[in-house]
Amino acid sequence: MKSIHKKMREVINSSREMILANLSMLTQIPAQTFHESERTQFILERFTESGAPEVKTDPMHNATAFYNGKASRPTILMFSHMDNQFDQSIDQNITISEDRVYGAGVADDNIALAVLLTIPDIMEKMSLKLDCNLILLATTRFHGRGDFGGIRHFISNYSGKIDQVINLNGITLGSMNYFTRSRFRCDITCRLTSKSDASQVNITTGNAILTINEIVDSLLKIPLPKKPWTNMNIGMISGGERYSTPSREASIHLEALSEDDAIMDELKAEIESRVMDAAAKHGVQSTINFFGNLNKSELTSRDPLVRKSITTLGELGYTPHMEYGNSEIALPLSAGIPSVSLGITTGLGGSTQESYIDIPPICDGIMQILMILTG
Amino acid sequence: MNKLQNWLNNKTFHHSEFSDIAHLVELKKQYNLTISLCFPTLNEEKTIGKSVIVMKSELMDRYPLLDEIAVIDSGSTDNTLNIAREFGAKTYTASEHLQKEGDFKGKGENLWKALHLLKGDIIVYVDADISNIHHRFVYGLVAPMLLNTEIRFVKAFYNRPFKSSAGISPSGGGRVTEILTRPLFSQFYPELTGIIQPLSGEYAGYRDILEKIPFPIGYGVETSMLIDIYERWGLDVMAQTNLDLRIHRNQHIASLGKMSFGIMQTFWSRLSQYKKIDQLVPESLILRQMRLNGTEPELLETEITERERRPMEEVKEYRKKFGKDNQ
Repeated sequence: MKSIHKKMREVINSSREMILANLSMLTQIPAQTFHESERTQFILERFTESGAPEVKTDPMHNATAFYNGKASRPTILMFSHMDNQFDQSIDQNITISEDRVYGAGVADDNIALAVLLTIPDIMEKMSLKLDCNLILLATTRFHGRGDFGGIRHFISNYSGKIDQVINLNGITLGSMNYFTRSRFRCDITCRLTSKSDASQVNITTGNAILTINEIVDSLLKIPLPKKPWTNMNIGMISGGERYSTPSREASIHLEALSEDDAIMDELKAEIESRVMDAAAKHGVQSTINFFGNLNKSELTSRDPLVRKSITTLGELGYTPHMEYGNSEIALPLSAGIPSVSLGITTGLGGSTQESYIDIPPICDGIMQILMILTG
Repeated sequence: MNKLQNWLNNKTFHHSEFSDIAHLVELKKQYNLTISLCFPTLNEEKTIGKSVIVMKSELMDRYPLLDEIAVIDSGSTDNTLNIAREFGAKTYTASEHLQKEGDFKGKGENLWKALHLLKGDIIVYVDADISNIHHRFVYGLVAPMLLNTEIRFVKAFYNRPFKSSAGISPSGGGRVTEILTRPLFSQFYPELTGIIQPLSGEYAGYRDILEKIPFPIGYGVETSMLIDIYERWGLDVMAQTNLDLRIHRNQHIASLGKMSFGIMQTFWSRLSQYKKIDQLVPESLILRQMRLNGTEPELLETEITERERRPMEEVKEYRKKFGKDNQ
């Protein structure tokens, strides 16, 4: 092991409590998508406290710190999202055992955010001066309707040139993404019109849930190609008011992914057509809202950032597992910026207290980042 | 009660006043002090890990305000001690120390033995069951003593507004505080009613005070500590700090009954010791409650006089109506 790597490992191990303290404190601050500002404030304070330079926020409540390297060297953006899907009713406090941390959201992706917050302390402890410029960014609006709003805003509005992007994920250590699929998301809502008053209509037709049910059946009959791989997932459903009343409104929320942008255009048209037909037959009003559109984007394994990431994981004893991602790197990749997603540790995701991360592998997760930054 | 109002004005703080931790570290060095943190525990594996981690990270690694963190345990059967040790705390089982003094089970036993086991000139006690642990729970208590040498003991309080259909109730403390401790203080120790949460488990004091007072081993330890310090050194050596929100386990009413019973025993013993039982002051008919107006404490005074009627059969008209005099 190189002496600098040995020192890195020592410093990271000595920073374990700082990482977990940051994790503990940030998880005490709710940050449901669109309601992240209090967590933004905490992140800004932590960056400032640890002596990170040029700490600031923006209209999206992203939080950034900027390290100047040498003028001629590339600029690397390293980021993780700060928001989650949990409202205040979900207890997000964590429990720490000797080798694991348990808690809702800890795996997806609070541990990555905690590491991002601790990078300035680790660099300070190592007296590490990077050749590259480094932007540390905690983004808002990752989940659901947030539609990657934070990173989208940052990429669109950053005045300088970003040369490489590293996205930190919670529990995917050993895996890396550097290609993303084409994607769209879609909300479909059916409403009874004033003419189809629930008390007047036939219960089998005057019910938004039944219409939505028919739409689901119809959408599932859409033939999807196996090659290029294409998939549609109906992820959420909602509707109805009470046991005794026909539902006046119902919705489904779906996501489609494909390895081909053109197929997605055809799929959108097919969904629109089938929804309109089903709604018309039932005499209900339908609305379709497509959003979250991302084009397929990818690097090749010859890209220097990808190669460096693969080599680094190998040096750390991992056999890199490459897979499609459905993550925020789609945006910088679409903008032509080489980007990878990397995991920090291992664990189990989810929104319950059963979700956990493993503490010991965090050291490797941070080692890979620092080795890429200094490589 | 001008003295109480003055005390509230001058000795009540908010933790945000002390966020310059580097300055506190300078003062600690300047006064050549050592500071120890004690977590008394019994089966706290769910919360002890992050309690130790946050304090070690922020107040030892980042700012060297603390010289040691220790867990003093009453015999946990879960993983409390292993977790605490893993993240850098010294761990002690109370029963294994000062064995010639005997062995009792209770939080007060752990707090008392901490004085023997820890080295600090200042000892900070923090309960280990706090879900939203933050290092303000320590620096918020230590800072008043470092910034004002008159202050020798600091107590924590929190924002715990109690909402009801009538609006915000004047509940500065928890249920036992409002129903038992504050009425007792109002009657016998009016000046201690300014302490917003007398039963809070977070406080810090100089060793040279703590080593001179007895420690009940059970529920009465917080009450006795306040009374004993007040009786020996007066109100002005005490201060209190608002630490904002504190989230912890909510106790069942039966547990609160046990707590109240223990506190009453301690209270009666103190009244007897300080010859207070037959010396009710005129002000003892005024109930003093605390309310937080924003972060500012507000003293509410209500005169409550429990008048009594004599037995009805002593009333002349009553006796006449019911022919009592003819019987």
